[in-house]
Amino acid sequence: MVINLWRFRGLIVRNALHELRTRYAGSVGGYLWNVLVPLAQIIVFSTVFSVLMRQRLEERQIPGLASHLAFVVYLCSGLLPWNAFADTLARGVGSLVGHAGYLKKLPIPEQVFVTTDAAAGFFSALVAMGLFGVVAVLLGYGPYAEWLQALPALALFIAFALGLGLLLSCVNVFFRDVQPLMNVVLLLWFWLTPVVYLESIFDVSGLERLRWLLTLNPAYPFIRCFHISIFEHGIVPIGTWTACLLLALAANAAGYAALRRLRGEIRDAL
Amino acid sequence: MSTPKVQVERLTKRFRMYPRPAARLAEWLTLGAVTRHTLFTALDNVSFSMTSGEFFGIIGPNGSGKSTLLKILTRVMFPTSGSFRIDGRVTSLLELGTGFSPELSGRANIAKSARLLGFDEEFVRARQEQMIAFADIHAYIDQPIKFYSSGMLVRLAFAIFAHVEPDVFIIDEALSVGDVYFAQKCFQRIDQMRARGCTVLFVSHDLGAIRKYCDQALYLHHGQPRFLGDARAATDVYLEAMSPGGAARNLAPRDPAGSTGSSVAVGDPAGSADRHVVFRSRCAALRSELPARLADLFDENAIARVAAFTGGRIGTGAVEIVAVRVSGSDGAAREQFARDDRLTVDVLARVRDNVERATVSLQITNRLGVVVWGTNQHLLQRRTIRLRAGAWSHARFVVGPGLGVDEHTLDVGYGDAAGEGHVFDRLSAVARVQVMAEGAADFVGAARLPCECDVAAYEPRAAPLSTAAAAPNR
Repeated sequence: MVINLWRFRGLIVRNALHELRTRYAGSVGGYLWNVLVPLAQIIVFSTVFSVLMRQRLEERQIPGLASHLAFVVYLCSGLLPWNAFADTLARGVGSLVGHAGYLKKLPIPEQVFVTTDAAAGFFSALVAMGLFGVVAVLLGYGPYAEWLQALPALALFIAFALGLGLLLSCVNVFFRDVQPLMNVVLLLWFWLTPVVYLESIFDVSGLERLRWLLTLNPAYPFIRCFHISIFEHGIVPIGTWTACLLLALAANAAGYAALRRLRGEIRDAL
Repeated sequence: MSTPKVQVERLTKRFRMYPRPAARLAEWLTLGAVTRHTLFTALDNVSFSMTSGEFFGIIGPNGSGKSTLLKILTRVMFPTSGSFRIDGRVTSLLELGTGFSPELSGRANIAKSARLLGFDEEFVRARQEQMIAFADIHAYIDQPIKFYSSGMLVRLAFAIFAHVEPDVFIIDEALSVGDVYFAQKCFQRIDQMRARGCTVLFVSHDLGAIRKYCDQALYLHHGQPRFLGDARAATDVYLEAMSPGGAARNLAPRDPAGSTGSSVAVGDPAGSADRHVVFRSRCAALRSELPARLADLFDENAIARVAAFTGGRIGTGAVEIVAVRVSGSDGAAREQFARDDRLTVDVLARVRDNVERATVSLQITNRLGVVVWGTNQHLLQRRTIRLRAGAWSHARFVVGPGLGVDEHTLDVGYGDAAGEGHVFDRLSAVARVQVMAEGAADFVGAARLPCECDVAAYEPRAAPLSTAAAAPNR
């Protein structure tokens, strides 16, 4: 199955880039929108949340950086990868149904389409993260060599989304309920993950009983990687890396197992 | 015979049909302990093989499993049981234009299609110019294909698929889109490909094309192979089986013991060949009843055409048409005509009841369904004819030349020229006439009209210096 992916590598990369271009097809901005949209997101989120959440950040000050700017860094370091993850997963779930026209006519392996969506997600996240790096430097934060850890972390996070996407897209072929259900799950999942709030929220009395939610949250180790490498510019512990790697592998194993099992019927049901 | 290039063995495809999505969920949740689906068998034990360079046809009515078979062979679908082996690369016109993006240029779409088919860019770049030349769209190749006409799209798609050098090439109805010239060009290209050892699998409702191009054919009915063998014989068996009240039932008696539902030649080419022989011998028997002069003219094909006719047929049956023969000016029966060729239509009928004033009619309809021309003896102001029961009637129309380049169908009929105007027997689209862009023609359009044309030039304030008169048209 992986050999099949290699054979279609040209298709995956070109179609992912094409997807980024045609996502804003017919617009004057074209590719530029892939930059402008995350940029606007960064600006809006940072202004809104830095005003709302200023007090909470007093304790986590970055030397030489105003506290509201520290929160912008914290927020973006988690939010941009999360958006890439959620976007990849949401697209991935609908991928097989969305490409029914191709699947019914061409002998292209199913996983190629989900992988193409993941590659598009990865490219657009790279752009957004790079942009964020530039903004951070302009604001007087960094650059730090530790930021580079975000690259493998992003790759693992997207790989995790790819595996889950593959699994769910196979099921979605038979039960179209999966796609709308996934949107709800993603919303809930987002608020259960410390992205817009600090994980120190669970230190507050009354909420510590909910800390188990964090340890059970499979997205947490990935978000941790980004927070450590970008916000704390520290070294991500090997344990966290291992957790991320295992999660990504497990998700893909599950995805391929589902595909292997359902393959015979997927194109019949489309 | 060399080793088969395509070997299909006992291929079966069953679809699971669920009454509603929740039924499937019930099965999943109980891990299959509950069964909520019914099985639909789209292909039942199909076996055949194709050798290198062979032109193989598949025929059958809609829903007979032709598309399912093609989807399995192109690896789009997985068979439920059975296996197949294909030596080399398969390309299918089923995929015609599937990967085209309207916003991209023709050139970019060539590259994209190649990627969808799993080729690398280099492979295509080397053949790109050939493809563009074949599709004949040089001027537009860098325009987005949303500006292309549908004919141009088909040409581009065929050009791509014909130049990626497949070992097995699958063609379906898609090819019947597009114009006749291009279809001819496609078949020329296919001949070149076959010369290099490419095997062609052709699926069509156009039995004429199957007869013309295919060596062997498989006739599928409800997913079951009904006939496998000589293409002409396969089309005969198919036509005959399709004719309502035709000989199919008589020729294919169900096993009286009732062992299985389908006793007719399933996977048994010898048995279906027998049916073909029986059908042919029926036609020969009718021919032997004819007066010698008519028997010379109406061969078994002319009789088989009507015997196996499945199209529209109305009439009281007082006169029954039994044979139709279409020939060129050289007297040979044919479907393809040059533009300057004369069309001879011979109609043979058996008279069942006495008829006082019979008239015979002919009507020509083009591919768009437009009646190009039609006439009968009444309109031609010929005498109507009196027919006695038990006699034969032979009518001959000699038409043209004057049909435009197109595919035409012929309707023939016998009717009553007396007051009520009863139709005795009328067959719609009983014959096909394809006028090719060959031979001289002094007109364009659907049909030639009588025409005279004079043209003159005049000097200002002077007498005409020259007068040219074109030759009158008739």
